Amino acid sequence: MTRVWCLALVVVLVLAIPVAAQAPLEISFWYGVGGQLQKVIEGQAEKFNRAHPGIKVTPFYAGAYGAGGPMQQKLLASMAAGSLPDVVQLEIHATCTFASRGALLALDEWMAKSDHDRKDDFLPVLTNTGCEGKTYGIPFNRSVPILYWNRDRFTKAGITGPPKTWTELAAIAPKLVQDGADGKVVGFMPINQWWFFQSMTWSNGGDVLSPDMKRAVFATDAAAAGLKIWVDLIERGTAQVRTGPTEFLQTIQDFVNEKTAMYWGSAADMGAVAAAKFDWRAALSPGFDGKRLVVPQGGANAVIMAKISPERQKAAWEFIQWWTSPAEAAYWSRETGYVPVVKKALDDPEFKAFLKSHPNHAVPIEELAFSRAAAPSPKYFQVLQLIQRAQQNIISNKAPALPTLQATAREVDALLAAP
Amino acid sequence: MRRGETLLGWALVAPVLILLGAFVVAPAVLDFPLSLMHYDLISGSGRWVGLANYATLARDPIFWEAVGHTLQLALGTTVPMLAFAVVFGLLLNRRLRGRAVYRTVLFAPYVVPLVASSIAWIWMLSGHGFVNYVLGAVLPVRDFAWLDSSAGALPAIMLMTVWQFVGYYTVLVLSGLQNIPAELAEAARIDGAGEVRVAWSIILPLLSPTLFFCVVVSVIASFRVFDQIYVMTGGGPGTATITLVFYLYQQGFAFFNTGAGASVSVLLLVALMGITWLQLRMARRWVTYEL
Repeated sequence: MTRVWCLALVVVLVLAIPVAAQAPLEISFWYGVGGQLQKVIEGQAEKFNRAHPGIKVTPFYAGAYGAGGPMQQKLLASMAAGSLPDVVQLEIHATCTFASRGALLALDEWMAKSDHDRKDDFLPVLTNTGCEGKTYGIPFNRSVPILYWNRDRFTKAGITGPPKTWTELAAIAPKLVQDGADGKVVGFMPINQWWFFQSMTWSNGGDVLSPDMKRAVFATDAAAAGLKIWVDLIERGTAQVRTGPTEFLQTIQDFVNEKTAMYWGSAADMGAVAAAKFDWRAALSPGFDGKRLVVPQGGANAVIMAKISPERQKAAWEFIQWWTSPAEAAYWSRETGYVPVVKKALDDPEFKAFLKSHPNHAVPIEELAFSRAAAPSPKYFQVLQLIQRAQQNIISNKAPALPTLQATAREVDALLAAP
Repeated sequence: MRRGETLLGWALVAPVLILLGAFVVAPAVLDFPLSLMHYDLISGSGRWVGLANYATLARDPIFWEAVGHTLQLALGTTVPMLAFAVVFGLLLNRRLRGRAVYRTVLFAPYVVPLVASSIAWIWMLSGHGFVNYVLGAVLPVRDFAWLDSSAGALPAIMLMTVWQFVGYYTVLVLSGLQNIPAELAEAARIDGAGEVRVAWSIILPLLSPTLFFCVVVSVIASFRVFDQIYVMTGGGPGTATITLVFYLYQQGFAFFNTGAGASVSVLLLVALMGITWLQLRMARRWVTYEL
C-alpha cells in the first residue's frame, strides 16, 4: 500500500515540474477607482490573464488615485521602501511630477513599435502623458467635464434644450427652481473643484500658468468670471454647492435624487447617473459668449515603473497594449462613460450600435475636440491644490474673487520659483 | 532562577518593544535629521539645508493658522468632553433604572469606526441635517451648512469629536468614581452636606487623579485629530480646518515637502512634551493622590 502512495507522489511531482517551470510572471497593477469601476477592472484583468498564460496581472486597489490622494501616498511609501508595483493608474497631472524624478519608464520607443499604440492611433487624448518632451503614460481612463440635465424638469419649466453658455445657464437656472417631493429643487449645482475652474478660465480666454510655466496668470477678470457667476447664482438661491472631500459624490447623488435640475460633472459619472429614475441627458460643458469652449481632460494614465526588471516592464507593456486594443477600449468606455482612447474603437460595430442607443455617451467623445492639455509642470498639481483652496474661500467663505485669486497667484509664484 | 525569570520577562515584552521601536521610536528619531533636509521621496534623494524648513514654516501664514486651529481644537474638545464625562459619570454612578442601557448607548460612538461616523456627520451637519433640526428649535440655524462655512466647520469638527469620544472618558471617570470609598460621602451626608457639596468637596478631589489622566490623554489626542478632518472637510473650506497634523500631511504628501512635514512633526513632538510637562507641574496644585 505504502508503495502505491509513493508511486502516486512521484507521479504528482513529475507532473508538477512543467507547471512550475511555466509559472506565469506575476505583475502587480495598482488602480485607484472604486465601486462599480472596480468590478470592471478586476474582470478585465482576469480576461487578460486567461488570454495570456505567461503573464498574471494582479490588480490591487491602492486607494483613490486623485492628486495627493491615498494611492500617491502608497506609491511614495513603496518607492521609499523599494518594493514597487509594476503598472500604476496614475492621475494625469501627477505624471510629470513622478516622471521628472526618474520614477517612470519612457514609452516613446515602445509606442513607435506597437501595432496599435502609435501616437496617431489615439483620439486627442495624449494630453498630460509626458514630461520634458518624452511620453511616460498611456491614456487609461479619460474623461471631460460635461453638463448633466434633467429633461423632465426642463420640460416642466418650458425649456427645450440645455444651455450652451454661462449666460444661458444663469438665465434658465431660476426657472428651474421648483418644489420637489423632498423640499426645494435648485436649478444648478457646480462642483467647486480646480478641474472646473480650469475649464472656465480657459474657455474665457485665460490660462493658469504662463507658457514658460514660471508664473501664475489666473489672477484676472477672465478667470474670476465663472466663479462670480456661481457666487451670484448661489446668493440668489438658484444654485447650491457641496463642499469637502466627498462633494463630487454628494453632487451626483443630489442630481440622481432630484435636488437639482442640472449639475456640471464628469463624463465618468455616467454609470452613477444612470441610476436616475428620470429622463437625464448629457450636454457639452457651458462656454462663454462668443468664445470657443475649452475643456481639460481628467483621469489617469497607465505608467510603468522605471526601476523594475526589463522582463516585468515588457509584461506590463503587454498588459497596457491589451487594455488599449480597440475592442477592450470600447468595452471599458461602454461600461464606465470614460472616452474610448483609441480611434479604432469608434469603428467597433458593437460600440457604434451602443452609441446609437446611448446618445449621452457620444457627448464626451464630441467634446474631446474642445479639450487641451494642462501645463506639463512637475509642480502643476501642487498649483491646483492652492487654486482649490482659493475656490473654497471664494464660494464657501464668501471672499471676493479677484483679490483671493491674486493672493493665491503670489503663493503659486513662490512655489514655482522654489527649487 | 532569577536570571531565567529576567530572560522570560524580556522575551515576553520583546514583541511589543520591537514593534514600538520599529514603528514609533525609530521614525520619531529619524524625523529629526529629515527635518533638516530637503528630501524628495520620489527620487529618494535629499540634501542638508540646516534650519531652512523651520524658517519656511515660520514665514507661512497657513502654518500659524494651523497652530491656532490646533489650540482651539484642544480647548474646544477637552473642556466640554471632560465636563460631560464628569456629569455623565456622576449620573451613571447612581442607582438608575436602565443604567446598563445608558452606559452602552454612551459608549457606543467610541466603537464606531471614525471614518464611518465622519461620513454620517457630513449628512447630519448639512443644511437640512439632523443637527440643524435639533438646534433649529432654539437657534436660527435652519439651512446653515456647517461644513461649508469657515465659521461653522471647526466647531462642527469639535462637536463630532466630543460625541465620538465622550463615552471613553465617561468610562474612565466612572471607574475613578467607583474607586472612591462610599463611606466618605456617606459620612459627609451624615454631617449634613448636600449632594452638590459632596460632589464638590469629596468626590471631585478624590477623582482628580483620574481627571488629570483624562486631561493629558485628551489634549494629546486633540493634537492628533486627523481622520475627521480628512474625511469631512479636507482642511477646508479654504484653510478653515487645517490643523497641525493635517498641515503636516499636506506638506508631506500633497506638496511633496517631506522635510517641511518632518519639521512639523518634530515641533508637534516637542510641543506635546512641553505641554505634558507643564500639566505635570500644575498637577501638584490640584491633583490629590492621598485620602
